[in-house]
Amino acid sequence: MKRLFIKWVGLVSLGLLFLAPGKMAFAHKVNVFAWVDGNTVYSESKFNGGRVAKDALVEVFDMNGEKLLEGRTDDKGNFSFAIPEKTAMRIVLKAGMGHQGEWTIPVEEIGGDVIADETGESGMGTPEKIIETPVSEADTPKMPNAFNYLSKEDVAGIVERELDKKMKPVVEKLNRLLDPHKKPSVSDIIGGIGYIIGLVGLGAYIKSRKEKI
Amino acid sequence: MHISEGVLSGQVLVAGGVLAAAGTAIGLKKMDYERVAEVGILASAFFVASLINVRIGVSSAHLILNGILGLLLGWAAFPAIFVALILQAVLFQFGGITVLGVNTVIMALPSVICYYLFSNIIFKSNSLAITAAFLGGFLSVLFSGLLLGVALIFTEESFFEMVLLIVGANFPVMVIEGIVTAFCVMFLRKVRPEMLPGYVK
Repeated sequence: MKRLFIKWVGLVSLGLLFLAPGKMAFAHKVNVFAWVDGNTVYSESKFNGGRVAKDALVEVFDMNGEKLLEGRTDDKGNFSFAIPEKTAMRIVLKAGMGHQGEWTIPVEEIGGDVIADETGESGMGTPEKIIETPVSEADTPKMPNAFNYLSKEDVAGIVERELDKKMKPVVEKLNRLLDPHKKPSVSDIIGGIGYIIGLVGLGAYIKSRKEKI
Repeated sequence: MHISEGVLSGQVLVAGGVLAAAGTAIGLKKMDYERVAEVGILASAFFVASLINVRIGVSSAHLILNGILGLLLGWAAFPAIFVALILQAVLFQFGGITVLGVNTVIMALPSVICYYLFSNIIFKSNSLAITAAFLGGFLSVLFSGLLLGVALIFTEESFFEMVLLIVGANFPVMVIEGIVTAFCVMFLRKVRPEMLPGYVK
């Protein structure tokens, strides 16, 4: 009779497990992580443990708490938007049921003329060639010519773009390092248990002192 | 079940803090200091349990273990869960320090409720005890879900929709916690019956 009962409970609960409608993620922590690339801000949203937060509300505020824009994450938990204005931004992710995460982008990360500059990748080819010509062909008559049609702003723009290109892998690596989506480490876990053992010791100590007195 | 920082309004945070402080005080007062080690072990179990993710299909949730804590500790579940939540907030960034009170109430109050509901059935017949322990684990998660819904009333739009969502998402956890609690209680009944409430020699 007893065996039968246990079996029955087990079977029913297993059945319920598989029938359970499990569409919602319900982890304990949600992270949003954002970085700037050119004139776009990219953000990535994940639950602790690496599951992406799909279709979650992302709100972008400036530092005065004024909402700049909002949107929803796609199937990969990504959400990107063009930089609305040159200001530090607070990106708040609301994944529902009390889950919220945020990420701040300081104003320094947002480049100088990014908002005006729309040429992006496609425009990169041309200035490169221009700058290469005077360097490789060192014959004098061409030099003044080259400097004639390269204004100060052009050079600044080229340098900026080139730097962006060269720095991109480095920045990406840094972003990975700062990525908060990492799981709790073993030392965190052991540390926590150690604290609890310490508290138990404290409790036992207090008790033993009370008994002596 | 952890509410993140910055979601709740000030009043809810204060109310949660007051309730948690009261519960923890009662727990400390009622706690039998002979059993302080047991409280610590269960606090550790609770602390680690939230790292165990249960993956069912596309959803994932984690164990809470507040049912077994309630059945074994009674009111002492409050200080145990409170301490474990502080450590989770500091070390894992689950929840947060300002929401500590609310989170403590959400997880510890159901433990106490389950203690009062089921603790005196544990030494009845086998089948009764299994059912009581299963329900203890199952209902404590369910109650936590309901309390979570209550705490979020002021920030989310529709209460019933959200409670349905929370309960739906946590349903597998409820079942698993029920099974885990039933196994623990039946095991303890055989090997260490003195750890269970209502034990008479």
